[in-house]
Amino acid sequence: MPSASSQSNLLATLSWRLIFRRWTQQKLKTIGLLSVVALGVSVFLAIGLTNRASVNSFRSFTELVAGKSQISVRSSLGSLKIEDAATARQSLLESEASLFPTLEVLVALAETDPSSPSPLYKVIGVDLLAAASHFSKIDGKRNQSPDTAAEEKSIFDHLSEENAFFATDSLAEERQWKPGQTVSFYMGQSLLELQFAGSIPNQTDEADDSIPGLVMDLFSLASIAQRQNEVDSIEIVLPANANDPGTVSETLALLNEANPGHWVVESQAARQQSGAIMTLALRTNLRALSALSLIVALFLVFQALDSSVSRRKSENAALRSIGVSPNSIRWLWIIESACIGAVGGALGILLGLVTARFSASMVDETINVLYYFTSDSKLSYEPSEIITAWFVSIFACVLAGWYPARSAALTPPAQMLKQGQHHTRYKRRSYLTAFLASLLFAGLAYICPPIPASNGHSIPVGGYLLALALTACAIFIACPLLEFLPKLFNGLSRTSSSLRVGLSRFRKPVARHRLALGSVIVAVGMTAAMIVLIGSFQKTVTEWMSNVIQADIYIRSRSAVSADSKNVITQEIWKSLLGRPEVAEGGTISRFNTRIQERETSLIGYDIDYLVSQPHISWIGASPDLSRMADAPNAIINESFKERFDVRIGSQIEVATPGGIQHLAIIGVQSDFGNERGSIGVDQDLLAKWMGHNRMQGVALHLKEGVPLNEVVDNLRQEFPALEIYSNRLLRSQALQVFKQTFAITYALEFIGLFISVAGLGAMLFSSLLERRGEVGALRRIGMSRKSLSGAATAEGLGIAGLGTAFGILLGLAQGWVLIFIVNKQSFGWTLSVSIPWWQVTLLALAILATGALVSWRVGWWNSGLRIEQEE
Amino acid sequence: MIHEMHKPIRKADSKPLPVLRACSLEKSFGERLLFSSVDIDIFPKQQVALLGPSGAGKSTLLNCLEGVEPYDAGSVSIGGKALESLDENEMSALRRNEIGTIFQFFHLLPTLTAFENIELALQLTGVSAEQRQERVEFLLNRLQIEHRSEAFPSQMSGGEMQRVAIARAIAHEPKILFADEPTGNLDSKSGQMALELLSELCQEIGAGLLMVTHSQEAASYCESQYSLVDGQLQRDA
Repeated sequence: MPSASSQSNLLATLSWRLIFRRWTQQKLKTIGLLSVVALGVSVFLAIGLTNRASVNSFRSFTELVAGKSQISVRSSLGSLKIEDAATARQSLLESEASLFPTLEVLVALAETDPSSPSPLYKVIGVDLLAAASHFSKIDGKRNQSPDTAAEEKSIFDHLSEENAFFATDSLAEERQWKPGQTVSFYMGQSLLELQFAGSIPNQTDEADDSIPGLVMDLFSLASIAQRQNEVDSIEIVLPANANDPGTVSETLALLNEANPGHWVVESQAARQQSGAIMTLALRTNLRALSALSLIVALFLVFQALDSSVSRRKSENAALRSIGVSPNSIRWLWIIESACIGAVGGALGILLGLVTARFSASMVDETINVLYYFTSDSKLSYEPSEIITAWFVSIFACVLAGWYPARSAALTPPAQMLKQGQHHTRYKRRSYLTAFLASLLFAGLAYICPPIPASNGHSIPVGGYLLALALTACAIFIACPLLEFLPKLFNGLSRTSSSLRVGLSRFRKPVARHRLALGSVIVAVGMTAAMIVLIGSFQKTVTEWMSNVIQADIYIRSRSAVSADSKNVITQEIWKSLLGRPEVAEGGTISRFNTRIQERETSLIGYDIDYLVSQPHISWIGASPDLSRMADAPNAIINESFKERFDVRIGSQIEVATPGGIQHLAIIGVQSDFGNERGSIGVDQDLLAKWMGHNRMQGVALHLKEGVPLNEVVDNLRQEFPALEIYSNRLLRSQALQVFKQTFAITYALEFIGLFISVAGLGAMLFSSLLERRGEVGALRRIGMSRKSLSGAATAEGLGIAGLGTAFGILLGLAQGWVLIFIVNKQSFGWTLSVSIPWWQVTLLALAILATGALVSWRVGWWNSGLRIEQEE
Repeated sequence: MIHEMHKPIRKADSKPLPVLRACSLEKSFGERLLFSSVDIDIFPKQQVALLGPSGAGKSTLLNCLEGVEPYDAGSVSIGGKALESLDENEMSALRRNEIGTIFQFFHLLPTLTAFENIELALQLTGVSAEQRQERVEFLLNRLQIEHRSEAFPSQMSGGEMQRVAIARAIAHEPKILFADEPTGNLDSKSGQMALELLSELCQEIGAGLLMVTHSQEAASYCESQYSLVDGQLQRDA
């Protein structure tokens, strides 16, 4: 019995001599295989890092000046009053905590084209006197850069300057602002001239962790923003020697005790978690999509290893015949799989770190539109995320190599050495059994209930499992059909030797054929499903927009782009707009972010008269009598709200407002694809009464007959440069643009899916033709030209691509149904009407067939160009 | 006789010119000279055996004569066409029209039936479907394997596979047949039968035959025997 150490030595020697030497001898093939793994891992890692960055971007911007505060106090609705800061201070009199009341205002840079959105920044208003005396870093910059006179001034010198602002190092550098320079911003409908006072170094310990943003003195900002006596949050910072979980809990308890009812007291970790929960559905879907690309890549690894086992049968046989145990052979293959995973994974990590930069900006766009304002998410290259991706790569490759390793170890040497016995056993009955089992699994997945998430949405586990089961069904039913291709095209085969040779391969399909077919089905299915989902979404949203966007002109503040913006249009502006001679009618909308049942949502104020006069809401079910909303606590909700809060028409819901708890009766449900957090709408005047003020975020204007629209838009733009003025057409096109940005990441995944499926087809033909070198040589000797041999390879590739595309599209239609009616409904709560963009589906089929044919031809041409005596 | 039972696809040349002519052929592998000054003519219906010890370069010489492997010096012509002057497409056309090849390991396409393997050689030359059907059926009968017409190579014995390979090689009535150890993978009885058939069929279609073998018994079926010894081609007595 050989000892364990001698076994290890043997394995190490054989690994070195058989695996790594082969890698160096077959460089191109090795690079191809490693690239496929790297591609899959890179997508997986990029999405992981992006998701993490999007969660991190939710943390408070007050970190700019306060470093990492341990606790923050916010209002459940609207803003806090300055008195709340006093209440909080009193509750913490015994504590060593420092309190920083802050105000947050969005501003838009005023140096861009008036018809396009401007870059937005969040300005933090903080008591600079308190901040500067508490944190040395805030005025540390002047000591580091004593070159300019402006920088030599202390932060205290700026307290008397009402228009002074500071910016983070990164932002000041990006915009090339010099101390003393005047910069113009739009805030609400005002144009502000602010003076850049200096840059603020990063307050957190991580060097690459700064958030681009602006800082002003709290009182100056409140005065400019006309929000005197208001604060958005109170940040509580504990001293370093008391910054332990116990003290944080005690402080939380003290604040909760003092909570007058409208406070939301959260630790920083809990706040970050709130952001994570808010985007959970989006991130889960992205993760699932990225995992799919990894699965397709692993499919290819499995295929490559399986073909390698088949090709190296004689090598395995020789090893067995000289006494190497089947177990050692199995281990050799597993070591090779792990090495592919390790090296491919490492390359994938490098690629993923680059890709993440692009995917992060794509996801940012989506989060901006759907959830909350975020500037560019700062990617932090989390070691845990990178290590996870690397181990997932190794584990997955070992998993992919398990069956080929077992096959190599279990095949008797005599069979391995037998000539011409490379076909794996092919049992039609076992495929039928697997198909029926998958069908049963699909049935169980269909009835599997979703897992409720704490944000009110659900994780559609059953939907994902159903999509997986349908994929298995499509593969198991398609594989046995490969055998029918030669019969189906028998007539054609008689007309061309290339077709005869190429299609005859399917009479005895090998594992490689079935795997390539599987990978084409998976990739085409995934892509077709996305096409169906996006097509349905686009149709539904376009119809919804044509219903909702009916006014001639839409107006909002330049700095009110995000869903959580507090910049508003004043009554004066609204009245002046409505009073213009060319305007026939108009309406406004107001919005407050709020919390109901501990979940973030929106409270909307509708102009009921306008809604009645210009009906533009798409209703789910019966249209309600909107006049019942005027001055009465009746509300309309959107579909996401209905799903998240499990309410329906007739339900009562409690909403806390500064004017007290309101009991609202739901009278209608509307379609709304603007956000997935849900919204509850009431009469605007009623809402203003409860809130103490109106917060008009948007204005819609209808012009009189015959008034030239473009002229009015141009006039308004000149008159109100701080407002964004959209014509009906421009708003629709911008909304569609936003919609496309929302799906930007899926387009990238579609491309990767297509690339991997075509690469899989090429890899299959490459290894298959290499294995059949003798056969190809014989064909050349009996007179088949390179063109005919390439044609045969093309026929073989097209057979798989064609069957794979047909079943992939069927699978895509089924998966599209699952995505629309199960995954999307449970994740976002949106009802979509199904629309299949057939031209896109046809284009996909043609793209797969054309690229499949091209790749097959190229591989066939390369193979037929090898010298015949080499083949022999 | 094939010509009596089946209309010939190509008329035989009336003038007895060599179907294969090699002059001053030379081939080296690096520093090692494999053969030099090889001169050989093979005429229609002439059957030539090429003998020699293992590693002497017999198969390489066969490959050079067949145009599969380049040679360093000299010239080869088949049916009057000099191989050096042919491009790849013309070489393929020459192979499918003028040359037939028989391999030691048969090299039948595993996914084609016996019928289809033979038919493929005719399909490549552009023979019509009806003519192919007639010709292949005739050959299957002639080689006594008509009952294996629909069998795949994996379902056939070695002897049967070699007979299908012979049928494929002569189906298009080539001018010259190259056979590399045609009995090397067969038992003696099957080998004997294959050689008898090969000899008969070459006579019937008027093709020349160059057979590489290390077996004296196999060589005895040929009227001329050459040996490749120390790089020199010598005609045996």
